[in-house]
Amino acid sequence: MSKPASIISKNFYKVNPDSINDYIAAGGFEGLKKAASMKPEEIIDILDRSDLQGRGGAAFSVAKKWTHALRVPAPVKGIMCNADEGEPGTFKDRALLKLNPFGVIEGMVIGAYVGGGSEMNYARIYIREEYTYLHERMRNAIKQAEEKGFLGKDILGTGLNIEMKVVSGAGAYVCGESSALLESTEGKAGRPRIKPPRLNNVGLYNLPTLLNNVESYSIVPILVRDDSEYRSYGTEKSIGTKMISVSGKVKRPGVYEIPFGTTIREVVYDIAGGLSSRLPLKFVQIGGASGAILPASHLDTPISYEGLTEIGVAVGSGAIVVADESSSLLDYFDSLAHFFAEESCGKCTPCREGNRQLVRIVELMKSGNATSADFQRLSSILKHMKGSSFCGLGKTEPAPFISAIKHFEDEIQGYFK
Amino acid sequence: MLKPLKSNTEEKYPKLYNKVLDAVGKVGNRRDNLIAILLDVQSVSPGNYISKEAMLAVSEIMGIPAQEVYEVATFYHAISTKPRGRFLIQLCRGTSCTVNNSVNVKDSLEAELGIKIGSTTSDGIFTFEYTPCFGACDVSPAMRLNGRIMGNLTQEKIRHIICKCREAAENE
Repeated sequence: MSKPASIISKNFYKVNPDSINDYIAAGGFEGLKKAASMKPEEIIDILDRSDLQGRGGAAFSVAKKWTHALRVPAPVKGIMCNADEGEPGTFKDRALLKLNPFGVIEGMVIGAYVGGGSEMNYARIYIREEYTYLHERMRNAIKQAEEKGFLGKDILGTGLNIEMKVVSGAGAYVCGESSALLESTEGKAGRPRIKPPRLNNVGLYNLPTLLNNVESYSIVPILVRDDSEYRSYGTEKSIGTKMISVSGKVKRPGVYEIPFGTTIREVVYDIAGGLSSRLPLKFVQIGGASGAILPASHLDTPISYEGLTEIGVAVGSGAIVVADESSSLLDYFDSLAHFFAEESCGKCTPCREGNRQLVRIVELMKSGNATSADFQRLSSILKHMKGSSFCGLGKTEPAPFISAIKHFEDEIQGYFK
Repeated sequence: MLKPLKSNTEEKYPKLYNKVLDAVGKVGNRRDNLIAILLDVQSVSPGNYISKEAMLAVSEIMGIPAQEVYEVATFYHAISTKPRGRFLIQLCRGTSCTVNNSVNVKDSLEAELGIKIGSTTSDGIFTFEYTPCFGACDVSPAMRLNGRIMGNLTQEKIRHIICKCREAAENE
């Protein structure tokens, strides 16, 4: 019987998220105090030791990212937190912001201490419009942290200055992409920028910028304070725990913290209580809307970087959507295709036009008029979108379609005449 | 607050112009506040939308070219450039909600409201549309009613919610 862990989610439902005193009493800001007595390189070593990877979906090494930031010294820098959790089926950042807002702030301050500017840091938490009910909580947390001297001028006598603000999104999935997020923070339409220059060099307001996901920032103070418990979890290559969001046809949908190496089966049947219907499980989608669709035969795959890579899947945002035999892949395709067509920003042709064609083909499948030529077209469009889209949205989007075609070939082929 | 010396928009739509001035004054005239200002103006506008005139007023007051204001206003889903009903019902079309039969919810809502999804009732009380996943998958199938999340929807629950909305609209 597999049980959820409690390290990142330690404060959930135990510490009042509206009170900084409660957070401090529970050991909050000790990570920051310890960090302030260390060299930035030592902090990066701690992150590297646990091989912490970005938790937004791209899984880029946080230690590497922070090392780059350290190597670009500047008087003024941007520190960004990506809380634009738009990935369908993902709501773990919502839980972190709601139940542990000070942890996010603490992580960002440590980030600024390591890779921030020597004179001023503009810290911004970009929270999606759909989470409007969390904006006030975060603003309140920032205000309290300022009063206690964890934000503002000369933090803990280190000479570090941070001005932190909450920025509201306005409903655009593409703004989860790092450079689109910055465009949107600057009050423009959220279309991704061309890279290079990397955000490490030219980011928010054209300043060198450090950007991480809510979950990545939340883990940092825990690791800096004492990483022994965190490191006792996980597998050899994927150390620690991961926040996941389980939803769909399960009895107990919700946000859970699991040690890496827990299998998909354990998550669905032990942690989430099994299926909510009497029908057998048909497929699961791992890692959000742009994650792979897997049949029941893959349920024993461990959720870890190496375990999922072996079957060509990414951990992604940590979303797991469970579907039973009553769900048809066509409906699922319909939901995905319309979602991406709606959310494509229109900047590059493969994504903009590709999505339009995907919707057209799915509509043909629904009306029963799709032919084998359409199937060829579908495969070709997916290939080109994957290979030539401008940003991650178009590049990763074909994954669910390709994996579904691979694992459920008969059902999909049945929609084409 | 600095504003243009002579403004056609102000002469023609003084009330709207003052609303925009208020919104800009609240957060400050900076380019990075544009989205927040548009959301704010929208929330106090009748019809819960940003009209062409409102965009012109924002453009004049903030000194941002009108086409850039238009670009931002049309880019984001949370900002509408068409009038919407007193109650905005946004049904999630995400993957979890699809798995949990949001299609039944859609049918019940359409029957209850008497309109197809993507339209507004003729009395202007309800607008019913699809929305991408808003992260309430743990209570799917879910919808947003004027931004408030309503989850675990069933036919009875929908009937109850719509009934309450109609009552509220009548009492206004």
